[in-house]
Amino acid sequence: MFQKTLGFRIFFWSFLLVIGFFAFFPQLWMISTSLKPATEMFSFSFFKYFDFSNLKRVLSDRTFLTYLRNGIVVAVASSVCSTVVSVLAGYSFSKFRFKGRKTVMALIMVSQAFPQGLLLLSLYPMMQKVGMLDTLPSIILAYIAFTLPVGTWTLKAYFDQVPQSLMEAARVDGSSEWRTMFQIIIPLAVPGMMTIAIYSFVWAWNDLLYALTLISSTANRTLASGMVFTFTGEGGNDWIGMMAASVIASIPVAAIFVFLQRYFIAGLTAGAVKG
Amino acid sequence: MKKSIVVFVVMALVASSLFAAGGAEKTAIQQGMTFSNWSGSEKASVEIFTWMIDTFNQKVGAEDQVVQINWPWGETESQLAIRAQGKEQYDIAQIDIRMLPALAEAGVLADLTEVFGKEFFTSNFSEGSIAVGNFKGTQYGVPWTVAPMALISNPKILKEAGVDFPIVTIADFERACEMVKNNHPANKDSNLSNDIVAYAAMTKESGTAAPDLMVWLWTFGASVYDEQGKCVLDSEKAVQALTWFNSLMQKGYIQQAMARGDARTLFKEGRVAFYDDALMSKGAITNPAFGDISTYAFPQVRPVLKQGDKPQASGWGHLLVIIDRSPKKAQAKAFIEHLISEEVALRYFKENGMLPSKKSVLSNQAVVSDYWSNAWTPVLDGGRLAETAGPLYAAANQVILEELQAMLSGSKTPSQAGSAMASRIDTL
Amino acid sequence: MNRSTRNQTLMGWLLLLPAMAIFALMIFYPFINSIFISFTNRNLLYAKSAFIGFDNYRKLFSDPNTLFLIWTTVKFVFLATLMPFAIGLIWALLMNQKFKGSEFVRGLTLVNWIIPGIAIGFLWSWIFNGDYGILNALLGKLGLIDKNVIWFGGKQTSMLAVVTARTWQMFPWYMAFIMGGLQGVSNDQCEAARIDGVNNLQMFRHVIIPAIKPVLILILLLGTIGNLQHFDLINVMTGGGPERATSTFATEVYKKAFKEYSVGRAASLGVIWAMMLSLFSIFYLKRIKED
Repeated sequence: MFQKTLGFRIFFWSFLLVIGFFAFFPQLWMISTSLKPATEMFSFSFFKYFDFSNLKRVLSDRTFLTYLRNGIVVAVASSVCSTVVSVLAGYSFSKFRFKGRKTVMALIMVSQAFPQGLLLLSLYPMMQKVGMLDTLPSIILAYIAFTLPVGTWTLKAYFDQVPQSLMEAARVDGSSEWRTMFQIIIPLAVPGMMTIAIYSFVWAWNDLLYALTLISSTANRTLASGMVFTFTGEGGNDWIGMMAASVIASIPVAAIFVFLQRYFIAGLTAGAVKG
Repeated sequence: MKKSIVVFVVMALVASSLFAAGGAEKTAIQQGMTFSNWSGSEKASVEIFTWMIDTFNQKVGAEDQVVQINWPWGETESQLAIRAQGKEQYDIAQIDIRMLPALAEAGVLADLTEVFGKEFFTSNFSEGSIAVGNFKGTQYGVPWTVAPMALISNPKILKEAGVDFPIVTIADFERACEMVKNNHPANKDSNLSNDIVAYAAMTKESGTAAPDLMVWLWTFGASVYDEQGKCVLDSEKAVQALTWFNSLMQKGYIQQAMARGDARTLFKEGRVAFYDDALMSKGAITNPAFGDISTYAFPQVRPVLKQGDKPQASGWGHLLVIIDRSPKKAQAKAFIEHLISEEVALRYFKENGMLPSKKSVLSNQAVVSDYWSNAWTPVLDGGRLAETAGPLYAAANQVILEELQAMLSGSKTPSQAGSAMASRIDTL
Repeated sequence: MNRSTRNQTLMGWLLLLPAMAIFALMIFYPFINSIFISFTNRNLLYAKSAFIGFDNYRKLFSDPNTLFLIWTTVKFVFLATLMPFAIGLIWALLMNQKFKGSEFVRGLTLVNWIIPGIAIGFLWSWIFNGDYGILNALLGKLGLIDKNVIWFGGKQTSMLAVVTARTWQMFPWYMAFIMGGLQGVSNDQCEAARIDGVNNLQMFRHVIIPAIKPVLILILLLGTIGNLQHFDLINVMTGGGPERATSTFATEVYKKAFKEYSVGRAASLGVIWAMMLSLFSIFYLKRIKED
């Protein structure tokens, strides 16, 4: 794409180093800190110590593992449900014409901008009334709702690309609407599905506000709010513990990412460009 | 237009049907009691709390078993209030004394003289301890640990800076700060990472900055409110106090953006000469590398304006309360008595340094011979509850913090800051 | 309506049902409810509340801090969208050179995005800490400063810290989208341009940018909306301070409702915010409008 002129080389290397440092030094700093013994917390040594006791401590903390498990459960559930709902809705917006379609589309898009903290104010008493407080489904529902706009939009864009001729051909063959949808069209949108699956996963994984407010028992707590609990408190903050926990919490998800990133980006390709 | 109406109607139907489906209220079928707290989930106290609850559960029957609910300390007040409005099980709670007024006003708490009887309080606790659990004449809380905040100094740093006099008046205090800032070897070298902060005053968070500042206001004879409840932070004495505090900033003794966690961390690293804290900070500031704690941490009363004045202090402590709508008040009483009993209280003290509250236990040898609690005894007499405690606690503290920050950064003069505080708090 | 159209309509609505149910329950109902609450003096501590008309709105409009809040929100959203966008764009271009190991580097960059936000907040609070942060230590060693800079004490520097943390967290996301877009830039176009004799800069401006323009506009919009909602990092790092210098609508609504207990006041703030955003959203909708 670019000619490797001298100017380009300078551009390439200088930004590679600067942005690389910006992106990776904090990551390394985090890992390096988690490997330090508690007494060295504030020394500026960098990978001088390889004390795994912090990491071991976090891993053997049953409560933390509960938080981690809940976090993954919620993230996966949100991811799957959000994808399914978005596929159905996106397909509907793309392939069907009916009254009110544009209005619903518009409403869902605009809903992204509604202040989520504000919605929480009404959702809390609502959840309280139906007895869903302190349950994982309550926050899963919230996460699905917040990732719907991006999800339906992405999948709609994908389905838009499926040529009408393909649909006609399927119909001529005698397949019902449902069969057309499931066997033929949806498989074509897999990259888009991967994108929204990952997007909702990260959303649910990272959320603090809803998890903190709607979940109150240790058994149901998720990762982000669990970390607030465990490492900050009336008595002060446990920096090293938090860094160790962050490393542990990030490893599984990071591993998945490094391997699946190809799909994530591919999913962003076709749909994104056509817009 | 028509299709929009159709859409809205459909959605309303959907929403209401979902509502109706899930409408059945969850009835409290749980047996036993709930004990909500924050310490039970904090690393330093997880084990002791589990032990305290387990030992109680072993003594009682199945219908009185205690179960914990935890939330972060910062969320306690709001969570307690919110949950009180619902229908979940709710019996005993650990609260911070500053949360009492708001919760009492909200009608969440039970009147404990009805549950325990007046005798219980007067025979077991000191007047000061009883007072912190009292709001507008009604006793809502049983003191669990009550100990006003102190000014903690680092004797080692002071010595190294050449400070060889006791800190009694504000003039002493300023002189000591000046010597630390200018004479201490760590501040004179070129290494920035070992610089010592003279006085790590709270300037970042409203929950710590406002109450700590109030103590200085009281030291100067000022207060936040007058007897009629009007905010008088624009009074002459208040402005005097603010001007003095600002001078600390100008002379470089205090810093902006200092949070309690930061102060403790720095103190533990031996980089703070003075800072304010409660007695539970012992765990946070203990550094084995420095040797015995008495060599590097000395809790003392705050300096006074003029020789002979009474030192002021900010009340601090934890209370045990019973939620008003709990049907198990008698059993809750038993649990509370268990928590403050000699065996449990002494163990809590041994593990976490939390002073017992019952007079009989306070005089126990183990407590009396401990350096840390001993050092705290002179401070124990003082302890005034932060004036802003109540439903407007966070809002009022936020105003004080913002105007304080404006003053420290130079955007406002002390008297402008004081006036702004007064007018904003009055119109909250 | 003929049979096929009726089928269409039925099918269309059926597929839409789950999404609409969730939307109605979790977003539509709470929003309408919030509008009602904004006309009351609802307080988190008390079960009962009273109708007070436009009082909350009146108080908000007469408060000089409200205007400053809008300005700070705009400032934060602008910076927190532009910075990661710019860095994400450059990084995407670099990664797109497909050198050895670029895919691995790319994946590693994405890790920033999935580290729990609260950990990122603490990490950067630590880096920027005035007394024990590594930034000051580095600057001190390099001789660039002779006194510890209290980053969180200053208004501009606090904003800098918060924007930096947000940039670090989000630029991988921008990078991923842009890379997706770059895959779609056809080689033929590049070849043709080369033959015409364009240099790198011209290639960038006249071939690449136009080709990925839809993506760029999309992520700028999504990024802006994300930053309008953003709360976690600011809350952990500065709490909205000092002197409200980093307070945005999102942090203020949370503070008013959950810390100061003024739910009615928070609701009115939220409603004003939502109204301002609908103007913005109309623009967004025009963008996705089709047939």
